Amino acid sequence: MALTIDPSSYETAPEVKCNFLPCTISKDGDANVTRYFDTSVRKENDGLTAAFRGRLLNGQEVVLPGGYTGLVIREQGSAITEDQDRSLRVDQRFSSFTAWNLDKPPSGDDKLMKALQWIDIAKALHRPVDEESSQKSVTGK
Amino acid sequence: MDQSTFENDRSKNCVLESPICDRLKSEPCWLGIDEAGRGPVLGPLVYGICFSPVAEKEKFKEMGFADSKTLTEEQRENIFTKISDNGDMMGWMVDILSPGYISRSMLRRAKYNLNALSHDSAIGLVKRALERGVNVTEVYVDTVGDPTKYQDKLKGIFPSIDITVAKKADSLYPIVSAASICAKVARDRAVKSWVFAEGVEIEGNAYGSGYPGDPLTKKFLAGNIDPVFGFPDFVRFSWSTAALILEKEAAAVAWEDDEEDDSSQNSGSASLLQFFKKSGDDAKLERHRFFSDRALTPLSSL
Repeated sequence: MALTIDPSSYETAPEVKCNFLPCTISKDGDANVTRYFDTSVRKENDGLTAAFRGRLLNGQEVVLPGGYTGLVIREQGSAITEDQDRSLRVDQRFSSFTAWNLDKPPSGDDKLMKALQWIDIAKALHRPVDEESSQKSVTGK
Repeated sequence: MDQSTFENDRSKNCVLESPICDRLKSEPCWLGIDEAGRGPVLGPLVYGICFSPVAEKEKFKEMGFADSKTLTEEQRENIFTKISDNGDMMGWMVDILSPGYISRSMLRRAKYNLNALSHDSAIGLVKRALERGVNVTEVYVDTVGDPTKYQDKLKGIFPSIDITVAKKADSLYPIVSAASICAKVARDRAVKSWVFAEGVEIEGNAYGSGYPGDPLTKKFLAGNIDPVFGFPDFVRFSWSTAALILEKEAAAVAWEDDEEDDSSQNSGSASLLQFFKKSGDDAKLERHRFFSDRALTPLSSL
């Protein structure tokens, strides 16, 4: 089975505002974000606040690392058997999003902020190594 | 009572106050505290204070203030006009605690309960009156909780003021009745003129008193559930009435501070089978903490 993303859909995908919420909502589908959530967002001295289900959220804008784009992808139809090919379309894209904490000011210690470190670490780990520096790491010379 | 400050942002608390004449600053004053809208699941909770020179106590008593609950809305409005017209011998302040603020406070990680919230609002108003230069010498408070504890708390904060905390103070002391009328008028107006930030339109704002038992309130709650967001900010999410409806009618939401349901777990003692296991049997290859700390897992399928 192959999983493909239609590259042409990327070009036409509009920018979208994304929110990363500190909870799990047992529902898939559209939500009245503009009416119910965006209206609760306030800019306070020490960052953004909002409310979800009556609970206080503290947020910050997270810009994606250089060279990365966020994609909202959607499956076209659904595969019936496991070996059927599946195709995905880019519905929307984003270059930043708002990360919300539950009742806790955002900090570098948040799981999400720490997870983003992986991008730099992965880059360093997977960078091709030339012979000289690889020799150096073995012999120390 | 101009509520435009509150109407600018109904998610935030707001203090409104009357002008304060010089007599209230130079002469010793008595001050009453009461609230309106503690029970309802809808709208703000309002704390009110009213203050007047001690020397005018007799005249004040003759003005016919009564517990706001025994009066009709029209009577309360008339009395409030009378209070405003007598600015040369009394002043008032109200603290409008928005339903959003109430929800967010009560649903904090470290819960901030309604009693503490009420006390803080009342204390805040007395402090504000003092800051404005009102010469407060006596304070009368209506209470729903334990009067002695509340009295001690207030005594600790305002040691030079004579404090009386009593149940039904709103019918015993006219200064508390006046405070209760200010609070009730502020709440009624705020509820009546509520504009939903969420764009919800309720014809004639007919959502009843806001008490959970009111048929109109029940109808409003049942008819305004968003499957994802629950209710508009007008509803106090921290009320069990609201929470129970959402539990049934809206999508389930799990938070990181939800209490784990331990009922299905073992109660501490190890299973007997544990002792018969070969040691090292479950040596699972675990991912490095770097990844578990960051909730990173490999994705091999969608």
